Amino acid sequence: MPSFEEADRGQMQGLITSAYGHMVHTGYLFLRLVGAPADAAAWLRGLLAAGHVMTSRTWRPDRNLPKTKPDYAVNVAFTHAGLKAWRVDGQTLKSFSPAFMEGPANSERAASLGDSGAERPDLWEFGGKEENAVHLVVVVHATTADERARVISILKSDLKMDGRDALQPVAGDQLGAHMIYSDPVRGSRVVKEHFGFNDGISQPELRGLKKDSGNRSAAGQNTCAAGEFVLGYPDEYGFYPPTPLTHRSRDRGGMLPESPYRAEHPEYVDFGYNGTYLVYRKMTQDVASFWGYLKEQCRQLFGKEDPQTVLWLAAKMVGRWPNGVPLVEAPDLVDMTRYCGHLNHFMFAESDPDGSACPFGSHVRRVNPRDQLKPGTPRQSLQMTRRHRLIRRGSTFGEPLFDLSILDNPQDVRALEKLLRLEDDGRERGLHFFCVNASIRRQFEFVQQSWSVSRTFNGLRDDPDPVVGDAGSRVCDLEDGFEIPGNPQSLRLKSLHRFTRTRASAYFFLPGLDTLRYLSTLNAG
Amino acid sequence: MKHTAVTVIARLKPSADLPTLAQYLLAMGQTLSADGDGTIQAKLSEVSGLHFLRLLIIKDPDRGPERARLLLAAVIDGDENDESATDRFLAELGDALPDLDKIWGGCEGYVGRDGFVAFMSSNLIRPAAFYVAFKEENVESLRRYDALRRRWDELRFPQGRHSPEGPPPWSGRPFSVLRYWRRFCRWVARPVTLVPQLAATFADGRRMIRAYGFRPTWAGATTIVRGLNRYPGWRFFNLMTCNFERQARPRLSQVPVDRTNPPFDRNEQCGFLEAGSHLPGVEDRLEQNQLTLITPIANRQRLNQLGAVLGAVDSYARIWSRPGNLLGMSTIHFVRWMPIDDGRRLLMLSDYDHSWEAYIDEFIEMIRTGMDAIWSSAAKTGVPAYKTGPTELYQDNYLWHGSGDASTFKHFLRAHQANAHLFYSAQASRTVLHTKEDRQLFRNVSLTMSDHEFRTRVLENAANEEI
Repeated sequence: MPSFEEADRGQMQGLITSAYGHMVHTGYLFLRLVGAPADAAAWLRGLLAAGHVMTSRTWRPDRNLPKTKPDYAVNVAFTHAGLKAWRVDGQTLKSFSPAFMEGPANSERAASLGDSGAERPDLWEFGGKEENAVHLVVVVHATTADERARVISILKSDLKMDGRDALQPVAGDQLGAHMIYSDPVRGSRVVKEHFGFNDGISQPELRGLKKDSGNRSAAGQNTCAAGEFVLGYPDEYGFYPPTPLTHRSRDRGGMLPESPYRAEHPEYVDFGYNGTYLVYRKMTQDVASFWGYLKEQCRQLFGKEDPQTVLWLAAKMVGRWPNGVPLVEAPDLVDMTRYCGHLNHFMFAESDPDGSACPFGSHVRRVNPRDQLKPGTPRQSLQMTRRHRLIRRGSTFGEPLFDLSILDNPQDVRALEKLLRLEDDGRERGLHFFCVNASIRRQFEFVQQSWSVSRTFNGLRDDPDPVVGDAGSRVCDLEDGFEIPGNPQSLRLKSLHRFTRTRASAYFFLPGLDTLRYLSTLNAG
Repeated sequence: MKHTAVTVIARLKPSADLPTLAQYLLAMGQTLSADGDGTIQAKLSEVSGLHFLRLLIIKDPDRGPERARLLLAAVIDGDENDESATDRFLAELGDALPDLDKIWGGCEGYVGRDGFVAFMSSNLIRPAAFYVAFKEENVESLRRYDALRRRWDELRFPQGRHSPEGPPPWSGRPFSVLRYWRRFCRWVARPVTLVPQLAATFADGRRMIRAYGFRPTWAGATTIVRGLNRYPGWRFFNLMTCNFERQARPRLSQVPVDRTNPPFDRNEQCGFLEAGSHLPGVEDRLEQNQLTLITPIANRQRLNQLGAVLGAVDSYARIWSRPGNLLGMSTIHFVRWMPIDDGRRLLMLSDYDHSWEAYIDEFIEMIRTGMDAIWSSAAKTGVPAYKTGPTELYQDNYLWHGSGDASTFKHFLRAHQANAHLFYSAQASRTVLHTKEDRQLFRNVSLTMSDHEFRTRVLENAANEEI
């Protein structure tokens, strides 16, 4: 099999390898196939013929020339129900991973992912019930809002939204955007989420895609085998990940690529090659409740409401300062604006073994534990962590509740005092969370279940992820909290509850271009 | 050994009503997890010294596809060579369970409550290998840790206490001469403590060579330690014995399609999965978890070889394993292996922390060669094995890189896993890492100490922690 760098990146959808950083406006069309599959296939053929679907091909026309960045990008992914409605054959459908087949609305899966109570699937906006199940998503990225509107209108007109449409939107247009701010220390452009923290700093890279950075211990931890994120390449175990297979007789046009298993199973071709799984979660963020909770905890712990201390508590919960500076490297508030090092070149085991800089239960220490998983050596921990990484895509929706830039300058206490007076405006805001992984069970679900939702992760007690966990939702007497180890005095934030809520979720398969072409001809007569 | 593994497999009569029995056990299990309606009360928390208990119906393929057996597996405090400890436990269990007749009434040889202990004792199976995370801890001492922890948390996080200074300043771990002095003393004393351990290991080795022969014993032990080069001692041993592992290359998985969930092909399944139950979801919602595996043993030669491997595992677990750490695995409370059915199948019973996926991943990462050695017994029955040369599939009859194919290996395990109808844990939210930390913090600490003394002693213990 070819190695990743030799592979034809033109056969891979661009969402896998690029966050489309310059395209800050996003739109997600969640569609449902209601008409004839042939019409839907014709729409997909049109999409491909027009060249709308963005691939992973480099934007650099020549090695020595600058990148020619596109104005928009479109990607298409299908749910299992969608492939079934598209009339993909039963044998292929059965060869997908069980997690993808069952979907996040499965009651057992939802319970272990923390989607219970008010977050249970039948209360979701879409994707939770049979009648609002999603069949496919069209992900649109564009440089401007006008460009996004133009692309969406083209897509919609192609969908023939005039009565005889084959595909209908399930839940209106889900629009989003990257909230761009400038970093006053580095002068760079950063993306924030609604609580006010810089987002998307630690993203794993595919081995072979770029030159690995020199420092193996810190920078190298972010580089994972391509098979962790794309089907058809070896993963971190050194094996090819399980892939959906199609019987050769079903691929009369010979459009699907040969399977890596052709020697043992010559009768099958590879439906999954250059494809991957895409997880979607629409999460609302209760910003006023988040800062209100911290204000209340600050008053209870220290007897006063001090905005800088509130900010300190928030940073402890996240594991980074709002400007992305890691607590491990800059534990004090004054260090936040002085730190000039790399935002992601840090480890936990040696720098902060007792969690007094970055608490063990903080968000960043859970979703990417790096070298601190007990009781293995740092090297083993890094290896185990690499088998559970996610490439995060997605964007925020809704207007920010307050001017998030005040968090980047904590010395301006007067501006920071706004944090103490925040009140909910009743508008919805949050995150369209997408992540790319080759195994939903081993990657997304594992991280969510075993690292985020688990109260006992890595030796913790009654301590779920304070940012994305399901704190306060247990049906028992035990109270969730958040421990801030200190020397000599530790603190515990009590009565922790959840600040993010799941409003929709779906598991998608993001096919390779060959498979997309196959799907576009599947019902063509 | 201060713990005893009680494993009883009782055959069910052909006339036994399996669905009713399964429903009854499930209802009892739901009551234990505070999930059910409380109609069937099992007072297992009143059974003294009981750590874990599970009850499940498993297949009895030797006697026909429809036949079944009832498996009881428990871990209790008490010397494993002291039969009275087991008898006492069984007697207390008989009192704690609401209706023995409803559970074992359909079993062959069961004569009623009066003969319960004798009936169970006659069906007891001893483990061939048994690992205990904390050999010195019993249920009472673990409960004491809970009480100490509650007090420590009250002292650490006092209610309504204000700290006017603001957030505590960050400071590193204080340098302590005493800590390094103690570490030095331990290092000096190490050779002395090694003597009895080495003597016990040689005694075990001699016993195993007599039972299984030199070659299987040597090959079994060296296969396990082949992948343990991360430990300097084992690296030296491997170097001296030329015991090298070949580098795994990117390979094709033996099961190309992801099939880690039920349902499975009935033919490859030895356990008894409850119809309609969704195993991953049910088991992974608990902080503690259980795994029951029944895998085939290919032939008598493999059985002999397995005996040697399990002997080595058992010897290591009893003599060398450090508290809460089985060769780098920190999620196992208890695990045991035993050949059953006259050596035709291998039964593994494990009580562990967190999700199945995390558990198996840790196994593969930490003791893959150990997994390969144990499940070489199931060679050619679905367990993955890889050629490292043109013809080489096995070396000394052991698999190469079998469990490294995580997808296929997980499939193999899932296919042979049996779901427990009832699972009891004395402390369901306590993980191995918790006990490890508590042992360190609450050494020489008692509840009767004054607050000041308590705090001083615990902080001292914390500062002396070796990281």
